[in-house]
Amino acid sequence: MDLFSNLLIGFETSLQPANLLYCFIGVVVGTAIGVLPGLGPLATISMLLPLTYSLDPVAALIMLSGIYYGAQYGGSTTAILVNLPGEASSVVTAIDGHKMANAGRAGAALAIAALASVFAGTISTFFVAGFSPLLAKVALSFGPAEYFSLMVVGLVAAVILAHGSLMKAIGMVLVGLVIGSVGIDNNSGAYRFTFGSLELSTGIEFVSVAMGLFAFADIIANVGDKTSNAPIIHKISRLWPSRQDFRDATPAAARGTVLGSILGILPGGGAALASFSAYTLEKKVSRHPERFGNGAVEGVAGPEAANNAAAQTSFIPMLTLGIPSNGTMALMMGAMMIHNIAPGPQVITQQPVLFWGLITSMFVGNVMLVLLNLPLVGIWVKLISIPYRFLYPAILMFCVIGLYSIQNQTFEIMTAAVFGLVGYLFMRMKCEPAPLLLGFILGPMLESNLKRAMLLAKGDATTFFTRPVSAIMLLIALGLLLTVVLPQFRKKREEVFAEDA
Amino acid sequence: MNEKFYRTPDGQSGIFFTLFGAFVTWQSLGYPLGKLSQMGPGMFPLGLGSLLVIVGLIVTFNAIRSSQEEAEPFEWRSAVIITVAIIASGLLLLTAGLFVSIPVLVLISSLAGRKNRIASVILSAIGLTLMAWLIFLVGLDMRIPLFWN
Repeated sequence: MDLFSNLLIGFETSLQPANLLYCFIGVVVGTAIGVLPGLGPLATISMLLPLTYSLDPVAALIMLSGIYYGAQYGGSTTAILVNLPGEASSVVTAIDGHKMANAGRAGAALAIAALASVFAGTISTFFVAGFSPLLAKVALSFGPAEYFSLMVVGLVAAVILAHGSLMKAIGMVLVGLVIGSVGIDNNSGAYRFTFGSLELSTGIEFVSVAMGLFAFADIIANVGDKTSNAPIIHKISRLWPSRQDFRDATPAAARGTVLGSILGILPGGGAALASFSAYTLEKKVSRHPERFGNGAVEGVAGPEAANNAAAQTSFIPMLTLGIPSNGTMALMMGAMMIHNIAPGPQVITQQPVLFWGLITSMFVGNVMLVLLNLPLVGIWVKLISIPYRFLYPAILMFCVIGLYSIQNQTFEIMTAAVFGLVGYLFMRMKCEPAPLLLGFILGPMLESNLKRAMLLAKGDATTFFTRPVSAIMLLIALGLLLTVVLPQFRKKREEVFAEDA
Repeated sequence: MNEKFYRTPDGQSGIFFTLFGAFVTWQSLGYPLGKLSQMGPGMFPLGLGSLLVIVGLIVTFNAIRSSQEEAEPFEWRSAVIITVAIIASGLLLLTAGLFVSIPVLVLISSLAGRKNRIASVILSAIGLTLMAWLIFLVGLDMRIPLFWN
């Protein structure tokens, strides 16, 4: 079996003591930062990214994905214990998880969340391992026209799944594409939008954009809040769920895994969409839908399984096509590029050790999460109760030094400060920053594929419609846009996001 | 018809997209456009800029028709203090050293909080400086001067 020999190569890498250690550090640090109220995976990853610069690429990626799962799981812990979800995907967990905690069953909710996550993580690891090589094989036959159309689909899907206004999300993608074009143009060598700055000629560093938009902007918005007292945390008495809990949770976790795995691959999909859909599904199939919102175990197990499965399968388009499907994957892709790995179909064949090592480390990381989180939950609770006035100077310190370490220069600190202000303005204007990050990362690729496709077609723009694969993808993009414009679908979309207030 | 649309989140974002798009369009006209078969450096940004203007006008137009509530008040105090703190520590990092830059960052940014006591601010400045030194210089072997020369 090809799959098993590949997984074997992977485990040989991911089970090396050094890599196990990095995975462990990633999971621990990721959870520790992720449990802090208000810090989602995007802020956590961009803050901790500099810690991985000195590692070799395989170890760095293993540690980063550990940070990602850790941050996601940490977010669920906070959602359950204090009803302060740090990110969209744990909003759903907070609905029933926090109700369970109110009823004195915080321990059971945490354990169910952890077990559902590891269950989903294990299954979706195999899914990723089986599906990625197929997709990579298809992608190898893609020319520039196909790539351009594929990226258009990805951006359109990201726009549709962004919260709030569609037009504003399109605007944010466009702003991201513009920011991505700052610097020397690859083809002509012309300086664009540099305004005489030497540092800007190599382009804007994506860590500056991410840290500014997600970490600094958040601090500006929250620091003056007069109500930010330490949250009230529920005592955890019994950790192990009851038999009845297991009986209710197991099928929900299984359904969540399947749904999450599928939604994770779609462009624009990811953890948040998966957990919302899983919650809706559980409510629909349940014989007692009235229990939802009042501490239903299925309402924790389903979404937690789904968001973990989707978090893993969303690696598939990023690793095999080089197209990140959401903001977090855009960040992971940026991290890969810092380590001089260009994600795309060639990664599987050219760097099998890295590819399979990363995939198997997803499984290893999930097991570690459970082994670690249930015993350590007392420490996480202490972290949640740290007052914000101690927290934000620490976040600033990590970010400032991290920004310096990218190029060993302070210019990145200044650009991030600017993006912090800009990000705060976007927050006030209720513009979601994730589509901007996606546009920023995809911008240069979108432009160069467009140029190459037009060059090959001798300036004939119909090439995007006459090449069948490209035409199909553009049709998909058009179809996606139509679903939003048509009234009945539009209502559905607003319903889904209405729960995420 | 909402006469104060420029005070709503949608109105403001519409105006922002329009102006930013106009700026991008104007700038990219200064770069060679090339032909469709050989696109110059100006072509792609020109497309983006013009699309942004269109999107911005649509968003603004919708904001004028809708009755959205006004945006929250701008937190000038927090925005200025946090930005100044970051820029100051960036300027000081290589010139005055880590042991000056991090305390400055913590001290300035603490002005933005509402309930900070001096003793606890000084304590966290010392604590975070030591933490930065241990993690990044001792642990990760980064090259940052400790003090000015």
